Amino acid sequence: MSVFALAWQTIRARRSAFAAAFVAVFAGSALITASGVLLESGLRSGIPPQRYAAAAVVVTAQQSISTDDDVEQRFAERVPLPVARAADIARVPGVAAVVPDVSVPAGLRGAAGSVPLVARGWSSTRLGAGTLTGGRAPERPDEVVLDAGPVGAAVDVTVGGVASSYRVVGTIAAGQPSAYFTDERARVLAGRPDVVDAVAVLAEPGTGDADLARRIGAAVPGVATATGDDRAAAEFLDVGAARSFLTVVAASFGGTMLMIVLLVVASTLGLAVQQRRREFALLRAIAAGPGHLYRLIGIETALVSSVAAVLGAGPGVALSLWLHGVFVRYGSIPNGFGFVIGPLPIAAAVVGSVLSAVAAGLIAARRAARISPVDALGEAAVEPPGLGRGRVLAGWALAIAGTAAGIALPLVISGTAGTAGAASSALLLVVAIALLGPRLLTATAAVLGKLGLGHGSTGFLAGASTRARSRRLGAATTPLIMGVTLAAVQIFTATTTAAAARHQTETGLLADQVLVADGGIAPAVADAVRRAPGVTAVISVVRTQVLVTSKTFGEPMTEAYSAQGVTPDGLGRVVDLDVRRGSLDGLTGDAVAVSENAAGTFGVGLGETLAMRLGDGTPHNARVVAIYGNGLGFGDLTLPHDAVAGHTTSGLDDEILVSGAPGADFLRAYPEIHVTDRKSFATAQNDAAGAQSAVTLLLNLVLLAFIAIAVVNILVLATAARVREFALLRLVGAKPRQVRAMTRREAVVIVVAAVVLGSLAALPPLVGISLSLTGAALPTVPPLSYLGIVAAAALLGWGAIAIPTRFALRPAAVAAMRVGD
Amino acid sequence: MTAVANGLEYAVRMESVAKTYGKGDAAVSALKDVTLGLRRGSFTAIMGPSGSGKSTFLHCAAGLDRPTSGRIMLGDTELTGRRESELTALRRERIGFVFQSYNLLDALTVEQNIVLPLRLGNQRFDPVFLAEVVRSVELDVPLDRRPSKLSGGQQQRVAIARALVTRPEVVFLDEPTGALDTRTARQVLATLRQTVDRWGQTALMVTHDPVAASYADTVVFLADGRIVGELTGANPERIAQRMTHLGEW
Repeated sequence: MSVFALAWQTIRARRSAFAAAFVAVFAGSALITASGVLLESGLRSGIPPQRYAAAAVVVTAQQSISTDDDVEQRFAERVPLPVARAADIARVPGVAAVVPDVSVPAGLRGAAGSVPLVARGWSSTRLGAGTLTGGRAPERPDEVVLDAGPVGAAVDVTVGGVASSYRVVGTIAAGQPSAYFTDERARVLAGRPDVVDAVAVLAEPGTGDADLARRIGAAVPGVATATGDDRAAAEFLDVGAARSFLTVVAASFGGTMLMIVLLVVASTLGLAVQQRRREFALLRAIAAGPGHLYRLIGIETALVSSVAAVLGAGPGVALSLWLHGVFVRYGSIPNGFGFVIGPLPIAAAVVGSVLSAVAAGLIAARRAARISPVDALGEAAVEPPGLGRGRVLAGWALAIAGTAAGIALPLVISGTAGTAGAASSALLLVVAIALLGPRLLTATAAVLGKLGLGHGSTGFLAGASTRARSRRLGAATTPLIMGVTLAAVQIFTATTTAAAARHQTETGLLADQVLVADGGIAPAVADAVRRAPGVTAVISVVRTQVLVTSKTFGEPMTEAYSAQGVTPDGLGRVVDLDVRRGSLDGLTGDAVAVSENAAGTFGVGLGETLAMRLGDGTPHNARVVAIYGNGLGFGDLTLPHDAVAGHTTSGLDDEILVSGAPGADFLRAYPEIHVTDRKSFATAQNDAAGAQSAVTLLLNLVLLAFIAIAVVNILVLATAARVREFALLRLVGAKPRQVRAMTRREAVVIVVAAVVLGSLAALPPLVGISLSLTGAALPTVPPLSYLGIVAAAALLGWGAIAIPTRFALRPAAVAAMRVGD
Repeated sequence: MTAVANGLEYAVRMESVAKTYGKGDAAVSALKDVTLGLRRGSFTAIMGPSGSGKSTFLHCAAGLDRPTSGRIMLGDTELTGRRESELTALRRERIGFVFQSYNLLDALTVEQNIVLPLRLGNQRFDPVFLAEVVRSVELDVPLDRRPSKLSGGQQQRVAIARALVTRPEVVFLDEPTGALDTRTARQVLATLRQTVDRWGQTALMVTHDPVAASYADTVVFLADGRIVGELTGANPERIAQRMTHLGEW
């Protein structure tokens, strides 16, 4: 117990000595809490159902599949439910009524163009979405109930640009613009008359939701039942996507961040222990064995980090709420998707922070326990001469491994494995830097000295000081180097990918015009375009995602890949996919063309068979007939239009690419269709991808903010401890101006080391990722962004040294000499 | 003489102790073949010019450093060849140490500093004995004050009290008055002498100050890592004179 008392007393008496560790753990706990909230929300949260709120149970087809690697893979497209199931469900005891529900994005043609609305079957009104305000319900296929009259008018309602005439037989007051048809007509408008989106079940009074769901699931095989908030996933397709987005982000971001937090806390604690050398030496001399020191430092760290971790949870929650706003703004999660802020992430963050801090403290304690009292009690608090051999060897080994992984792996393994290898090289190099920090700093100082920075009295002092305290300065520089590397890798991976995609889209799109419409274009419109004069080639394009299972390092992994379905006639006139092997002429039936990157991931070659699941989960086997290069711009797989079209949510085309021009007459007949030229279309595509990478970028900015805090923290700690040294210099004759100049030179060494080494460490991963994604070894590095990183590093390093130096120079020199450590 | 008899008579015994730092061409011999015994209850001073090896001598005798060759006995316990954890326990329980400066932990009060070796060794301390120690070092500050608020002389008194609180076999002092002004130094030395006499405490003090050395029973002179002379019961002038002529033997 006495060691505990000693620890407690030390903390109480010398609070400022523990400030740096406190800040590091505080910030780390905030980050971990935020990640935890993201993860839990991804697993548990959602939106309350709106239209389905009245239904006790919502029955759909299975919207996901359990894959080999135990991950639920959601299908990108809605899987429809055969309408015949409704009768089976109605027979289950406890079911009062069944409501087959289908929603179709449609338009109402008017004088001012087309007004978008949602078309549904009349049965859907039983869910309570609207009440009849005039007229009657539709009974014939050409009758419609609208939310605006007059009853008896004739209207044109379009789906996918194709218009049909109807007579208004009733009006309804509904929350959003809607049109209600007969159930059968609504299903025809949706494209497939024998399926519905979902069957909503109204329960008899007194029936429990969960029981009813279970009974339905048992009675009707192959369906999925949803109760409570899960019903919203059936109502809004993007809820499921939002959940998996959050889970993926939390897992990948959280993993990197945990490692960074560990490294930073270890650095800070190592430096703090270093600065208490004399205190520990005294203890070792008179009374304390190594075990005592371990316990002392362990208890101190546990006490300080507990308080810091608990206090950090609050800002962590605030951070997650800010991220929520960002995600909604960029469309990654739908509005109304609430985050779950429960005790679990907070508890995990606190426990995790304390455990990692104590572990870091014990590692730092190892050095304290080995202090020789004789050396350390001398007047000069000199550092041990060199780094341990084990540490240096490990550092160089990791550096070589990281460089090799970055550059060599993507050359050997193609596809996502290669990209992952390149990204992991960044991690390896960052840890190598942490291990070799002091040596690298000394080397930089030596080089700068040769370049002329060692001139003059200040240069000499700065050089000597840097060499002598390389370990301490190394602790401060390491996070800065890490920050530069991570920033460079993250930002320039995004810019490289975006630039490659943009390049591919611009060079690959040969069409003169691109036709798009809200909600999609019906195949009949494409046929009309083909018949229009002035048109030489017309390609219908459907965009979707397919699931492919591939083996990465022996482990099967199922991922979704972007895919497009195209009509083959005249394909080469409107799109250049940069075909490298094979030919797109045979793109019919069960053929498929695959991007080079994807072919490497799947491990398939020309003529081989690729097994996949289409957008709605339908299994599909295809023969590889071509391998092309423009995967980033157009999608990793290109399939025949007819193979894909029936397996999407809407069944409509996403765009029509036209060589030539359909003419103004044609366009007037289809007011829902918009024409964009090549450039705007390419820009629009890249904007969508840009939003995704903006989110990734923002998350990394949070991580970089943490590193910035860590850098400032450590540098302030290191500079504040030099009060005696500065006082000695002043007593010996140096003016405060000269002392400040000396620390400025040291700051230059640190910043140069950080920028140069950080950039060097970022090169292998960037080259590797560039090779893997685009085949070119040169990543795209916008000069402004790079200068931004350099400027940020310089500002941080400079400020974090110059400002504490001013404070350290304030006390009168003679008094400062007598200050204890 | 049997080993037990040795232990009873000598608190510390060094036999042919040598200590070399560094390797090869850069090797420095700090101690060469030193043999010395400290009788129980004696107050010995070690003097010598810089580089004579007196600090090394002290560190080896206290188990803070390991000699390259030779044997060191603390009472009837051999110090050489022991593990670090054993040496630490020995230092804590049977040796007291006072450094020239930086003796006290800033975070602890005076009382906590004094009893620190006892608490870390999980030993109970007797408050009556503590009061006696405080009285005998003539410490007149409140026990709950922090070291940064004490004068240099008061700090050294606290350090001496801590060195005595475990009733060690030997107290080692490394230039204990080096950082004090002459008047305070004399006061501290007088207190030290009184305590040593009252309790029969064995003490070994390294110093370069002839006045300080004159408070001891015997002054041993070190030069170039060897013992080159001894004076008993001398006054400061004779000690200073002997120091000046150390090279001429």
